[in-house]
Amino acid sequence: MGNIKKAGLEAVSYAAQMNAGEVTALSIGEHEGIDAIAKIGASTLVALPDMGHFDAQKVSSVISQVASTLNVDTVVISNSYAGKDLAPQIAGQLNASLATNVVSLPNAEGEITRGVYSGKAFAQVKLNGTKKVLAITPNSFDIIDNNKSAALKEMDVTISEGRVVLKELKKVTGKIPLTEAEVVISGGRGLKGPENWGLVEDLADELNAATACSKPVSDMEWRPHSEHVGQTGITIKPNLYIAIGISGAIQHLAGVSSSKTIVVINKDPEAPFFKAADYGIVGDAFDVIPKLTEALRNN
Amino acid sequence: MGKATIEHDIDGGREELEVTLPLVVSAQKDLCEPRIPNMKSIMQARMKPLNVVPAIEVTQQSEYKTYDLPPAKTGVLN
Repeated sequence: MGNIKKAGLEAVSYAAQMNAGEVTALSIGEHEGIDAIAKIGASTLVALPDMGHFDAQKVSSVISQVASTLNVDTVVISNSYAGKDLAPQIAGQLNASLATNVVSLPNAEGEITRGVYSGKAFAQVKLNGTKKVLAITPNSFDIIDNNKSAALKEMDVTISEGRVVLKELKKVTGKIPLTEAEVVISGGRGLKGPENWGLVEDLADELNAATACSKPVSDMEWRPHSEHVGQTGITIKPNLYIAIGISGAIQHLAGVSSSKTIVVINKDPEAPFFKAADYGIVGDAFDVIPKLTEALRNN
Repeated sequence: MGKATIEHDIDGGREELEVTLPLVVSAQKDLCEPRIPNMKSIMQARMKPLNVVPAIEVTQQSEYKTYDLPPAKTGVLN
């Protein structure tokens, strides 16, 4: 797979599944993984030079240059933080139709479905521009193997002077990116304090899962804000979401309700989250979680 | 030229940036609490000039057809 993130592969696969012509993939900095993107349907990989710290203004202008030169109809990008920064700028530069949070391929009428109102609803949108920019929701599309081969292409682009200087980077490294994780274990106020997060992390280790938290937990700085899922945090769509000690306020549900299977563990049987769950365990997290972790370990 | 230092959420973390003004930011909810103006400020606000700027012409590039609620989970325990 080289160094290409799952989100990048999903974007290439989405483009291939549109069946709308040739697919060109762009890579910036490192160009390993050409085989991986070729396999899922890109016929060309445009290798762009390293631009240093990710500056969306710089990068979007370079992507727009490539898109204009190659006269592409549709730019597909992941709806990550970086993608959400890039997509509107590219759409502006190309005078293209824009849809972020995209969760479907275009239908026969050229309409797509996108999440709106912080994930509380979906809208069917027809994009009328001759050019389109689509930011696709991570974990929404399968990566389909087409077994094709691709050619590497170098392109001359003008890289503008950035207006942003990086002072400090606080990046959580070595962890599975939350939006790409297949399994997410999330903890809420019911865990009583940051010192108890070992419970969540042990379970996450067993399931190869990413860890997340509710808004109060990040507000109280028990956990970093980058783990906060919900309306004002990150929207996730894992195959399995396990919520521990989270009551399930509508703002939290907005960020997680698209998860394929939701398991809720809460000692309060009245917790509203149970209404939005596929499976529920009524019990004290401090009893249930160690037993669950133990059972998985012995399995 | 003025500069500002801002915190910016990125995939898997946060970065601190120094930016040159003018600046466009999209701010997160709950980032700061709006100030309640005092009586003097409210009175003063009436005296401020109101500049009405004509809207520029734009082409509508997308058309919203329908809105749907996400499929409901069956739920447990009820």
